Amino acid sequence: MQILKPALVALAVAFGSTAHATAPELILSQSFSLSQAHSYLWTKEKPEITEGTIVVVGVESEDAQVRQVGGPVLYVGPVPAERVNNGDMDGAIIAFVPGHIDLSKTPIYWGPPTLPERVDEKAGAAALRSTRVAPHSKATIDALRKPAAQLNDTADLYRHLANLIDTHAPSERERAQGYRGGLR
Amino acid sequence: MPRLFLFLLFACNTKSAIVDNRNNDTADGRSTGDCEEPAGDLVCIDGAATICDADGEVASSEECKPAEQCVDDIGCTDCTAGATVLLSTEGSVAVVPVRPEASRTSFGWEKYHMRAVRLTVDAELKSGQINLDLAGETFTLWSSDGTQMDKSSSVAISSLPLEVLVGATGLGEASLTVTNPDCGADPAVLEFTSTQQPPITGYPLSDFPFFERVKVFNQNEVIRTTLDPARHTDRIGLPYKVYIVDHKSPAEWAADSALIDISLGTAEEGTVEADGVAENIVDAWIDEIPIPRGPSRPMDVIFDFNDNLQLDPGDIAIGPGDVQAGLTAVGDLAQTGPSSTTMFEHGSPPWNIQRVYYPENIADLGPVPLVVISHGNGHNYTWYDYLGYHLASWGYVVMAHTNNTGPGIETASTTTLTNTDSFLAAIDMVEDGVLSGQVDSSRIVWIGHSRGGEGVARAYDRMVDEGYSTYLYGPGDIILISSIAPTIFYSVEESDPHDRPYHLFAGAADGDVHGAPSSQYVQFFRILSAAESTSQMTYLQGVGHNEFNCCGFNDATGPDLIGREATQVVSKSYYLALIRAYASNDQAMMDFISRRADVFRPLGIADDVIIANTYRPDPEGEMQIIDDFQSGTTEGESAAGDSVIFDVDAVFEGTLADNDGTLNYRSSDPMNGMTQAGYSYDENRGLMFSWDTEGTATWLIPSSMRDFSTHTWISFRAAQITRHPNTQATAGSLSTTVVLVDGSGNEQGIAHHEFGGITTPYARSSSGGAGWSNEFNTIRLRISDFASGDSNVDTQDIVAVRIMMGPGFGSDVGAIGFDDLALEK
Repeated sequence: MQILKPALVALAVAFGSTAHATAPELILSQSFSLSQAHSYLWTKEKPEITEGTIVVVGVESEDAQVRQVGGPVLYVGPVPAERVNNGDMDGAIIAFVPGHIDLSKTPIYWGPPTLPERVDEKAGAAALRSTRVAPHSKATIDALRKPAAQLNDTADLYRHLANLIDTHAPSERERAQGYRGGLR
Repeated sequence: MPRLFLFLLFACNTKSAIVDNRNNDTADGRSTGDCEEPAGDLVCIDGAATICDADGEVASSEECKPAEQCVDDIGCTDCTAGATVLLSTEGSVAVVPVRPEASRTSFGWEKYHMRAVRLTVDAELKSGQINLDLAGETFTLWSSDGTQMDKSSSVAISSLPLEVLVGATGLGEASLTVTNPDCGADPAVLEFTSTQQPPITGYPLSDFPFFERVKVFNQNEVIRTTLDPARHTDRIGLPYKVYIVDHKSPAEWAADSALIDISLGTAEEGTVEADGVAENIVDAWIDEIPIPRGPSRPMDVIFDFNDNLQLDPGDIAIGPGDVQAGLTAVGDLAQTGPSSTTMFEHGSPPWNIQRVYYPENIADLGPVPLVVISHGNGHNYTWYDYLGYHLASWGYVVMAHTNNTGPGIETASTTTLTNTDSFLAAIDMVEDGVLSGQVDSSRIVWIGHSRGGEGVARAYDRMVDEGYSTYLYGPGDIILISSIAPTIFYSVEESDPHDRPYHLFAGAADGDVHGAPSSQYVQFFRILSAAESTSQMTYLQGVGHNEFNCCGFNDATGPDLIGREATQVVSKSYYLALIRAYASNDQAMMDFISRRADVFRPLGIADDVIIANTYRPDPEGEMQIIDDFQSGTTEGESAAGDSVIFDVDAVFEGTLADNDGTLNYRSSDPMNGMTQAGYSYDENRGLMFSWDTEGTATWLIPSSMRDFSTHTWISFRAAQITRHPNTQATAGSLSTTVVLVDGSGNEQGIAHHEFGGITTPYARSSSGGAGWSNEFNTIRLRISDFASGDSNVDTQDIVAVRIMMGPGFGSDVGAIGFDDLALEK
């Protein structure tokens, strides 16, 4: 019988280093509130949220290519951000995280590849500790912050995000259309 | 012969054989004074032909011979019961095809597969009966009106001549003894043997068995027929005409047996030659076969032996009475189907948006199967138009939905589950109800790509293992799960297709879910290995991850990339074949799945696209395993419980898992490149060996398994070991020879290269070497072929299966992984 060492092998090779990834550049941030809670599925805990922060970040095309395995995860602080577009064609990713985040104290960075649904608080904290990316300056944050949005529910949130896709990632207009309910 | 002429001779007093016994006693002591019949009449008295005179005396008396019977007014008449098998050479053993389903109900069509026996006696015999005695456990006796007769039956002589039918429900031999009990003649005895009738259409081969028997062709192929004179010994020398006719249902054949040839306008003629299979090959249809409707044209093939333009018992027929046609010609499966299509979208954002494709004439098609497409991470539900429109044009409703793959597999599986439900719930409300009542929720196909490909397996597992509740469908309604380049983040106990038919589609040039041993999350072959029911794989060289959709980034890595357009021709073709097979019970389409793709593939796929494919039927009931290496713990013992003898190099039996995470070959890693297994719950085992000169691997067969004749195929799957020096030396498709050895020491081999080879690993490079995943291919050989022609092998008594390798038997050198040596129904 052979001796298998799959886990060691896989972990060493599957998730390549994210050192090459260029730190995302903030293009826009916007906090939002929801009248009806939204289930945030991009962490293991899957919290119900009524507040969140949207970020639009500029990225390198290669970093943004959404892969099935081995692609880096976009983090805001210790939390994987929910990406609502790919961003590789236009160089811009629209994403959001739970809570109203002070981005002058919270870095936006590419963290190690994994499935976001597997990231618990401990793993998120570890990702945050491992990054060398610094938060954006307060001046930058203030300059790029949009007024807070008051939204109704999940569908309303995605319609709002779809508008941001239209603006910042127009090549993905079809995806945005889906968030609005598809072709009608 | 009637003996009336003897009476006339007697009247003229010229027949010396009849003695004038007037005023004398007869030789047997009968008095000559008790003749009470009218003078001059010929009567039978005590079995003797007697004539009385006017004085009441016996004028003459003839004692009939043992094979004669006396008939009043006629005299001594031949009383021998006659029996002849129709459409057979005299004195031969008549061959009866095995048909287990014959019954009173099915007799209308099953009769065509029986042998007709004509029963006769001398026409002058009018009374009495003849006795039939059929000895043979697997044979049945039928009257021509469809009544099954006792194997020991009587027939009134007054009803003769008539025909009775002999059928066979299983393999065996029989004799039919026909006796006139009132006659001293020897009975008539007819001999029968039964056989599984393989297809009579196929391709000529250069080596034994000289003909590959198949029922399914592409429409541009020449249709050839043959009969094996060693099987049909009773037909040797008989002329026939080959009719190719449109397939009819059993009931239609029962009602109308007329033969109308559709091939060249006339049926091809031939005579059964004694020489061999090759000498009996007839080009039955040379031109491209027109296909008026549907993706294929089902036909039946009949060898008409009495040239009466009718299908009769005793003709050789493939197709009549069967669900599957005797011959099917298939058009280009990548071409758009006959229905115009419409697409619409509906649902609620973000993860319940659905793009739905359907045939506009759906009201004429009846409830049709539903195909659900679950996209991969970063993909979009709008990216599978090519497949949605294509399948809709062939009569399916296709629904592609937003798939929440970003968080992971659990969320992806949830959106597959919920979208399937919500679509079924919305059917009556969307598009003004055009789909209402037209979608068959008991025939659902799930196709998932990438994370979505794992998601569909995970979704099924959640239904059956975790009690996930759906509302409008259940696990049994998922009739096929297909994954395109699936990830495998979860264990195969969690992303598990369980008992569902499972299909894997993947590309060897995939730059994302690449299948190599360097990452556990991309080893998609493990899901295939975990499938418990029918499983099949289509693995494409030169194809990346995103060629299966319209718009994903170009990740393809490696030589000879075929591109998106060609990939989607493959995808459209194979998916149509798969879905027709599983969702529409179009069994002919399974040939594209079960035959090696290097020798038979959908028409639209270019010859230079290299496809590795495996097929395994449902192990439960359809297979008998000789060795799957799961239970035998050493190289010398098979799963069937008998010995395995190797005369090859580097034999290693173990888990089909690379143990160092690289594709570069090291002798310390005999399962180099294997990604079919890996963990305690995922311990798919197999065998590896190599050869540099002649080599053999021999499986001895336990006595309980030696009757191979009840199975149709012997099969195994094998893969060349990537980057092994022998694989590099082979540098192409690899082949071996499979030999069956019977209990008398007879053996017969079939080199499988003309039935399909074992693909060489894709020449994709990394880490300084070239060669990618080990590509398993299933080799299936028809068991009856081993007994064809001049072979003496008795397939009812196979004591060993031997794989022979090296010069003269296939590739000179090689290194292969080997698994699932089995018999298949």
